[in-house]
Amino acid sequence: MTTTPQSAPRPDALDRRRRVLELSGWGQEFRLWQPHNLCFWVYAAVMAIGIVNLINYVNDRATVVGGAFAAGLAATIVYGLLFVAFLRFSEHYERQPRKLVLTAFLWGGVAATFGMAIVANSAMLEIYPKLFGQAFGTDWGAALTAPFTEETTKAAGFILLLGLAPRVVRTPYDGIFLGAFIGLGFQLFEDVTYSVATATAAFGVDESHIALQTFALRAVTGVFSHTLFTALFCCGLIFVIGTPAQPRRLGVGIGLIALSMLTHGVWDGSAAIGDGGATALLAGLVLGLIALAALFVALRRTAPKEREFLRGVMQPEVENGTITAAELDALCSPGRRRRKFARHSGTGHRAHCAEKHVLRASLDLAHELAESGGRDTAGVEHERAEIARLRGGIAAA
Amino acid sequence: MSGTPIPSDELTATGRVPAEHRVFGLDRRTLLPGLVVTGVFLVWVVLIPAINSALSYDQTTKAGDVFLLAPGVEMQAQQGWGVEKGLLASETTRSKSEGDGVLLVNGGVSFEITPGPYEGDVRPLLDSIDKVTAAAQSDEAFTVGGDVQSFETTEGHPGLLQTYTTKEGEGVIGALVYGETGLQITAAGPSTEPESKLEEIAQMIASISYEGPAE
Repeated sequence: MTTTPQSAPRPDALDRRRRVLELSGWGQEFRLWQPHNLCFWVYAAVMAIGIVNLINYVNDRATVVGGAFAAGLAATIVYGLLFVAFLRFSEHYERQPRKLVLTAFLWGGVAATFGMAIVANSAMLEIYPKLFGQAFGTDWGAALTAPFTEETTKAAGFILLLGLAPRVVRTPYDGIFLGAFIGLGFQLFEDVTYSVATATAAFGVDESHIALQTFALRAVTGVFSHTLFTALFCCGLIFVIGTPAQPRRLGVGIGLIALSMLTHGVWDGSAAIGDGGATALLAGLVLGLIALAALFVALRRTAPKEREFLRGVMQPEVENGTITAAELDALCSPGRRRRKFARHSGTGHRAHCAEKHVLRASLDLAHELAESGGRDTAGVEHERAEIARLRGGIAAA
Repeated sequence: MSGTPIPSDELTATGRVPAEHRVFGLDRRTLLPGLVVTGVFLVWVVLIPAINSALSYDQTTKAGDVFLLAPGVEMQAQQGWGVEKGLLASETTRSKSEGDGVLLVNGGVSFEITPGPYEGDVRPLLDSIDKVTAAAQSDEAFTVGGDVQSFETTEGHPGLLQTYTTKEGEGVIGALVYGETGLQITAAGPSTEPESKLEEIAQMIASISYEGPAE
């Protein structure tokens, strides 16, 4: 494979790259400390309340079921790291800034969970039996509480991120991934509290074993949990609110939000919906699969915009001879076509692998260009040199 | 590796919010999302708990009321107690719930039975309940004391009771074990409460019955 001879990229290609980077928000830095921003103060205040409630929660239980707490926490950390790795790996086109991801995660885990939802849930779960009787509360209390309290408190964090990073959070893709991290934070912290709660309910006897049993059950059902619900909800919010990169589409947005809340409600109310029988789990499972399918559809529908951004960033690299036009096409294609391109380049396994590495390095170059704002920094030059080095592997093969 | 700086149209070169966007030192463009989330917070953390406090349970126990405490375990209630939690055997639920304890109140007295998974003797269960209850108290004056007293329900099932004291009054902690279910019994109230309520609590405890796991 040969690249075109090196030449300076056309000014209009460079201009397009600049516009794409501005529109997409790729490579924009995020910092939480913004004293001029009301969202920062609201974030800090709710987080402070959440931290106080979290400390009280841990203090109250650590001496009673410390073993359950430690076991639940350890298992959840391992599980959480796997989830984080999966989500980060799934962000193919542009990764969210680490600080932004951490801010989202902590909102879900501390502010939304302990700052708001824990208070709201307790009150709501008492209101239903007061208004409609104990049987109604038993059947429908959770299903009519969590989708409203938990989804809105998690989404509140995403609204704050929109206010804190309006140039970074712009596309439905951002909604999906940041929403997933908010939901993951909520899910993991909730997993620990459930482990501790079940151990306490069992009078603290055999606490670690009971905590791990609870964790295992929640880990298995974790796919259809807050990570999924919040990814859908926040993707829907981007469509409802609209951004410079995503025109408002109310129908799609409201549909995604409703699906997220409905799935959550059906999952929590599956025992009553299924009339206490085996269909209970099936109802939740079916809607969970529908929600998962909706998430994949949303990803597929929004990916072309991300690929368009990627093309805008990398087009000048074809003109300066760093990559070929065919490589750019492959880079801006869905994963299956990228793999097919690599398989059909050159002959032999080594050539295929080398081409795959060139594509991966090209993506690194795109990330570097985004972070440099399109300027030729040392990092950008390094990534270009990497591509040239890997291309040597193709030639050798 | 550093990213691009904050775009110039966000803040001026001197780090200030552009004058036309400034309100009390804050960026006017950030007010809407901040206020929306403040609204969400106020609804869930202030308004809803306030509504909950304003509402009260209006269910009162009637003669012959039987509560489901756990699968196969029931209790006959005394008349005139407010029901804060508890499913009557006469109520049908779609989820086919078999009960999850009961919380009854009468004046300043509260009577609660909480079920949980437990297999073993009743004495270690009482010790665990003492430990968990003591640790969960914010009241430093909380003290479990006195001799452990045994009792039998009307159907002859053995249980244990122990008294405790707090700043506000005194109470009783008890334990019963049925199959794979343990029951924690807690009764509390000011020491000035009349004997009649204590007698009613004793009758409710004695009425606890077990029909075994449903086939």
